[in-house]
Amino acid sequence: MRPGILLAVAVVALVLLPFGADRGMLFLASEILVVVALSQAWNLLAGYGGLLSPGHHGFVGIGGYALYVLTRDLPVHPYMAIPLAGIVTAVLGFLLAPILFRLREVYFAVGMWVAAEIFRIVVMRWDYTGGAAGLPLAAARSLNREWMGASAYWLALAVALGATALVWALMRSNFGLRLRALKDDELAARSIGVAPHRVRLAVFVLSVALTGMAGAVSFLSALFITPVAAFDINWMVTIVFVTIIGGIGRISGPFLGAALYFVLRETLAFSSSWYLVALGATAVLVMLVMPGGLAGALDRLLSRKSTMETQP
Amino acid sequence: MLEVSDLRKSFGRLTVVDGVSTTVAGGECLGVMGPNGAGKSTLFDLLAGATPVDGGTIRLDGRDVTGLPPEIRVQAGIARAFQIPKPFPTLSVREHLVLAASAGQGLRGAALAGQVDEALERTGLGDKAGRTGRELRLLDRKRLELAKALASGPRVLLLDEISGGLTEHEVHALVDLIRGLKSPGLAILWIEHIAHALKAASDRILMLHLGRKVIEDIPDTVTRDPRVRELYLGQAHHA
Ligand SMILES: Nc1ncnc2c1ncn2[C@@H]1O[C@H](COP(=O)(O)OP(=O)(O)O)[C@@H](O)[C@H]1O
Ligand SMILES: [Mg+2]
Repeated sequence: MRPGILLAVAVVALVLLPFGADRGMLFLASEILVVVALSQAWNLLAGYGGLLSPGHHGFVGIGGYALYVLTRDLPVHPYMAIPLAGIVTAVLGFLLAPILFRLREVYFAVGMWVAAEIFRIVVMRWDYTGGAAGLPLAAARSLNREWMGASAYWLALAVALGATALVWALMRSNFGLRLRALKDDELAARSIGVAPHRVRLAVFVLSVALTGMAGAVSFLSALFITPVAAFDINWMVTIVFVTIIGGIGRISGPFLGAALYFVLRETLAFSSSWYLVALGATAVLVMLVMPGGLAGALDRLLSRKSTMETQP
Repeated sequence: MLEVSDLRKSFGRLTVVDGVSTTVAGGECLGVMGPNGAGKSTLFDLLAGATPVDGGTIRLDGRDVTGLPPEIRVQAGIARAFQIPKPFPTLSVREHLVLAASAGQGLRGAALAGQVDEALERTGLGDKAGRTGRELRLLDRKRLELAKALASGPRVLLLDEISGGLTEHEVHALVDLIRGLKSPGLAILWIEHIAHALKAASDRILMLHLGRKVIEDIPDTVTRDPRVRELYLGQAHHA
């Protein structure tokens, strides 16, 4: 029961954070939670589904733009627009899936990359989405300025914890079994009746929906969105770094990876050219020294401790 | 139940299954014999949909399933135990069977649990239900192949050399198990090298050589056939 209590205390502390943190801290915490959610979503597809996508930044951007366009054109509150942004990205993912899934392995990755590029170009050229100049948040009036930071934080917390809970529940469900079996041995899985396309389609749609919601949350407090920021490749770099460092295919990975990522970012204050080099070097080092990432190393540490405790 | 006509498969210039036809009715067990490389496992690949056919048709209860992918064939009732076991390393034995019963037959709840328990009990894996695929020894991996196939609710059961590594006593138990499975709703095809076991369980035996059917008849006739003795039993004696 103790891990359960610990978890409950941590969640309560996270929920109450806005009452004890200043604006800067709250902003940083929201940023971290968005990255946790994005990493959890990407990990669902890559770590559990076995599909490596280098194009998820495209869905971050679509989620962000969905928030801005929906609240401009429809009478929906920005907070309500966040789940709607998830639905928009889910539908887009569902429509693209038949094309992307015809491409296997490395071609799927190329397909995802191309899709993200196309999203960016279309949004940049289209008047409806504000073109290259971007869009202001038309519904900013309906937001309470005083609670703005706290609300954005709570939304980020909800999306991060929601994504984590979803992955946790999925992996314990019959659907999770199908996913694991497919990843282990596709022919053996199909030979007991697992339909690979349906399972992959479902994780793909879920993954991009979560990504879109996290994207919408991230751009809410910015009050402005541009194609350059929305479809920034740095989203992808951050997601991959955090997931690999944290431990691919592990539910605690995104939390541990995000923690290390932000510690590095905040303390080392890289100049931008050295930033990517440092991230890349850290990722390679972690892959070499700790194949399971931080989560894997932590597991080994805990199990060694418990075997030492049981063997006096 | 299962009707196979003029099935063909080549890998490049090597013809591995060369015009095989047969039918297996519900309640029947067809034994399949043949020297190594005769094309037995490939024949099962074709029946299960793991490999596309080059020619011929496969019908299940009159329905043409020749072009269907493996997962749909399992759902239609063609289940298979692989010669080289394919356990999922991270799934427990029970999870394997839950998956086979839910994905293969669409079972849920109590019906699913019942089917899983029955497959565990029949194959003697009950005390290993919590082990992961990675932890199983070869013998248990073979049992798990059979258990998975049973848990998917088969109408046609394809068993590929599942007796490998068994002791004489265990082979007898396996024969009893297969006899016990016989029912009007199930057709069994069993590939095996142990002639007396195959004889004891089968209603007919099909002898395959170089992808062709040499003979298909009742066990006594097949094992007495001079071609079979030369090709297969003779070879077995030398080995
Ligand atoms: N995927 C494949 N590609 C090329 N040759 C194959 C393939 N699968 C089987 N074969 C060949 O087909 C022949 C029959 O193999 P198989 O069906 O496994 O025989 P059996 O099960 O009767 O021992 C062998 O010569 C084998 O090398
Ligand atoms: Mg074989």
